[in-house]
Amino acid sequence: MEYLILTEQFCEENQGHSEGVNCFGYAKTGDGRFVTPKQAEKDLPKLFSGHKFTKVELEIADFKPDYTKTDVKVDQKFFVVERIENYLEKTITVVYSLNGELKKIEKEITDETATKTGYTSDMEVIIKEIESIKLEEPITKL
Amino acid sequence: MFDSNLIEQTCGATPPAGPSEFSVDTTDRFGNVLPTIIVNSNTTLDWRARDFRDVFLGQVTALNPTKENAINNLCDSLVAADLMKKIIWFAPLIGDNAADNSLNLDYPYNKYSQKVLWGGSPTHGAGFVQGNGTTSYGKIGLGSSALDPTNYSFGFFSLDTNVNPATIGEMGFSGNWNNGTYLQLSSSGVIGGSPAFCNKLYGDKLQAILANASGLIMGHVSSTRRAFSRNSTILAQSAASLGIYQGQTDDAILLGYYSTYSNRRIGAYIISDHLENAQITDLSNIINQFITDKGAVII
Repeated sequence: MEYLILTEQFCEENQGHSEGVNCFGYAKTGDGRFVTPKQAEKDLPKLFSGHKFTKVELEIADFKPDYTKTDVKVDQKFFVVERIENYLEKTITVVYSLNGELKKIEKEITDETATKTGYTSDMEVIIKEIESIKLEEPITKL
Repeated sequence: MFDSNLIEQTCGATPPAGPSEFSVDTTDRFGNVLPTIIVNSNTTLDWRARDFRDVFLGQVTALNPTKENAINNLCDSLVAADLMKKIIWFAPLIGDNAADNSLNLDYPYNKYSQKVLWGGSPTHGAGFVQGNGTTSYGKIGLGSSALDPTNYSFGFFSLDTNVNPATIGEMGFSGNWNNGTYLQLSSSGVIGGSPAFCNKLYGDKLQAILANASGLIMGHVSSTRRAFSRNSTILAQSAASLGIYQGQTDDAILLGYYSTYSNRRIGAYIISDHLENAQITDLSNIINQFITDKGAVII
């Protein structure tokens, strides 16, 4: 799919811009580029008139950061990569990156906790487990 | 040409006595002033269907006969099943373009709270809207005050039986709110296990994962149950306390905003009052027929 490469400033300045029933939206690629679909030029003609942006062909995979690299998010040595709640198998799986190394925690969702608390306690268990890991830096994001 | 059988009246006025008695509200539940309607004094059952149909078709770009008939049949069926009055918001996604696909069957006017604002350029195809997997979502302004947290059903018609394994999201409802509410689907294609309404407190992206399933997928919330259904089948149900919260920050309902990798094809969106099982069956039959009528293809 074809995208336009934007600047971060352009994205920030036009966040919330709308024309008719269309509004501006953008995404950040895995390597840090800010992009919007080329179709946006037609959806938002006022916004894009007078601007020329480089076009690039991207796949969905291009939007997934390589979490095994420590420099993906230099300000966060710990962050949650994925959280999967499987209510069929009654498990919550949290995949997280710690100093560039991927780790995984899997916990069972019990009917008792699920129905009583709407999964709050399950997440508390997971968060506590993660917090128990000795980190070089505090957790900044869950 | 003036038809003496037609009596023009503004909503709210008392209908004339006749073979059938019906009441007309001046405003809908959101305070929107309803349009002037034409009531045929000889008509007993379907005048309301024609009303919705005519108002909607008056707002949407001219449709071909097939799609116009699809809307006609949809309105007739919803009224005949006594479901129209249950609907809070319904996007039939009939027009294959952003403007028409933004329209709410229940109140198709240019009002933020009623029309979808499409963000990040989703695709508007033949009877569907589809996320591009990276930027796209829809947003409606129905906020916390619009929904009774103990009385609503909501969902979407999925045209996909298979979705891209690389994707993790949905183009269904998701929560942008700090305490948003959205549907949770399981990875196996069955909405199973415990009922799963989740909120953003547990993650900053959509947690609905792959569901290789087409059909009308809905969640149902009342004071006594929360349930999931696909078409007419109740897949999971609980009488547990809800733990459902309403919008706090954005005051909007989003269609796939956090599904940053969503690419599901959606044939219709719906929000209604809480539906009982028989109503779910009726609605499923009606929406499935509507999908067929309008020519949307399940893939």
